[in-house]
Amino acid sequence: MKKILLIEDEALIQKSLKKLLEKRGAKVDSASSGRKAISLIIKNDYDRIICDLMLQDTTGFDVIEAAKSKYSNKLISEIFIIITAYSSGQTLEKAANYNCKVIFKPFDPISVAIDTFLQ
Amino acid sequence: MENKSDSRAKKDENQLDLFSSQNSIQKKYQSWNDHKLTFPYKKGAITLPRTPTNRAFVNKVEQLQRTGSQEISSPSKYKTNLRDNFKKLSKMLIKLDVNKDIIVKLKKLTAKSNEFNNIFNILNTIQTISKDILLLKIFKGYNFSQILIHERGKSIVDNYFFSSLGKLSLESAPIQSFNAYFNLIKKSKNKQFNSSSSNMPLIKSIGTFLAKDFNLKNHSIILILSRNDFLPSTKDEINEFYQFSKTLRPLFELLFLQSLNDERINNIVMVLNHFPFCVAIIDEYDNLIYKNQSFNVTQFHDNINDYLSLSLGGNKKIFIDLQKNKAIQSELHHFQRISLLGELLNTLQHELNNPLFGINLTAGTINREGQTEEVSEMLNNISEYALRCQNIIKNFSNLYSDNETFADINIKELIPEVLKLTKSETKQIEKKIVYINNSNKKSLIVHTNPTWITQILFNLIINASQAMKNQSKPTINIFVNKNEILSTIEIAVSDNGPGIPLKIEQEILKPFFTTKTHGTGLGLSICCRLAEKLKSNISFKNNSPMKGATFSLNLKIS
Repeated sequence: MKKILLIEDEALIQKSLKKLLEKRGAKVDSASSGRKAISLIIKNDYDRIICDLMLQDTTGFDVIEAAKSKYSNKLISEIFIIITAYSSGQTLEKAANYNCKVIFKPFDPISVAIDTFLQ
Repeated sequence: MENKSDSRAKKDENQLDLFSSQNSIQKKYQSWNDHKLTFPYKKGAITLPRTPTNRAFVNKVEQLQRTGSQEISSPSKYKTNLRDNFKKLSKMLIKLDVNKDIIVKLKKLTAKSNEFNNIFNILNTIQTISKDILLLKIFKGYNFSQILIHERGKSIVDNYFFSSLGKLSLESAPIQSFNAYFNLIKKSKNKQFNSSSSNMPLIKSIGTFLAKDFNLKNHSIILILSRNDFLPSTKDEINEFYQFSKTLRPLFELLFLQSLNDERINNIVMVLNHFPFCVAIIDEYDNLIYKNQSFNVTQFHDNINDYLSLSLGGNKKIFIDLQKNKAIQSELHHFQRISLLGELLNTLQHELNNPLFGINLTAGTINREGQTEEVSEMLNNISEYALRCQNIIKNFSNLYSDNETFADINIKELIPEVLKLTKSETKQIEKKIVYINNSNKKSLIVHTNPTWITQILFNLIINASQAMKNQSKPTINIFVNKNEILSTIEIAVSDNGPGIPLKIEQEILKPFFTTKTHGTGLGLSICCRLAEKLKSNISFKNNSPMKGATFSLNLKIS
């Protein structure tokens, strides 16, 4: 069973995604803030971390930076998937530095996004 | 894409000119920059205008430059200029008391020898000299010539070479090797060399060759002539070459002067061409001798106040079209508004996208958990509405984006989209899309800028609906007519409002003209500018015998 951390501050998106992922058999922890996410990452081992970029307290990039204390760059590129509604070139460039997958919101279609999360 | 080979051919033609003058042009462009005059260049490439109009203009400017306020009666031609410049140069040299004997000799030659006159007729520019020199009678037996030119202060040397079998080529060479050659040739007594014995990779000839060094004011030159064989030149031949070389010196000087002059003129032309106002120059007989890129009016306005004119000396005048200037101002205004609105809408789009996506996602998730038919339908509605909100805001931010990319657009799909955007303004109005001449059965795909078209149509529809405020049965008909022969698609927005009063017909497309209390008067003028950018135009007419007015956009398909 895949262990997933979902970092998303939009309550409706977080709850729905959690539900959809659990339906597909994953065990999902969720976090609305960067701080909570970082403490969860340090405490637990996740197969997949889905990370929104715009959080209330920090950005998703800060979460990834903090995760570097635990994971190698290679592992970060494999575990993290960035989800964002801001498709600016700057964001993409920054994301490319981490070599992570980036999926843009709104997901279209949703099922493909879910499949990617569960890979 | 299909024009690629075409443009490549053109490039080849101009390559030499471009290559030789690009650096100094850039330098000059820089200096223009320093004077706070900036000009838009796409992709940073500088192309020198070489069209006939420009050439004519160049000649005119040359005249003006040379004569100041004096008139020149005869039409100036390139070679006349060359001679004039030559005269000037001769005077200059005499003044400086340099090479007196050469001047005397040259004067004699000019008077007597046809050969020297030939040089003037044949040697046109410094770039083509290696090619032109082989055309001279005295070098009939030679089939290869090369000229290496170094401008003082530069780190590279221009290396032009031409063989009568091939093409004129240009390479760049480092200055170090050039200096070595130059000294070698300078020290040599008989000016005869052999490319196989001497280690000279820059020399492109085969076998023996004759070479001469020239030390000019700002340039060092090596001239090389060869038959591309291994036979040594006779004493006479060497002598002839040597004598001829002597006469070349002042010619080189004046060619450089000429090319500098050319460059200066090209810069002026370039500046005028890219000047963000409409500029035209007329001669003493009111003939248009030059107009720049922004200038696309076919006729001058009657109102003299529309122009700013300056005398260029003589009776020539340069005009700046203030009317068009206004149009440019309006475009600027428009651009500011668009970018502000665009930014605003972009932020709004991003801020709304997230919660809307949440609503859509949740509604879908709950729906999948098995609901009664009634609840399921309501959840479907929630999803749909959220999607619709997303689309609306996306379309609006597209409308106000400064997107310059072109794409294949289906007009059939575009018009309903635009109508959706105008929904709040056109609430009570009946709207119909009418396809004329079976246009709906034809392909209505156009390669164009969707943002600009949307902006134009949006404006026309809003205008139409505002014109019908007091109408009892307001109707907007959008007629679409594809003309396959002209390869155009006409999109006509027709209303049944009061129509356009005759007295404002002339004014209606002008910037800052408005009949609305809160209008900016920019809508239609911006539409016209956008249409121009799309290589199309906007026309209008009053409907007859029906009421109302029709504004049409004529789109070129290709």
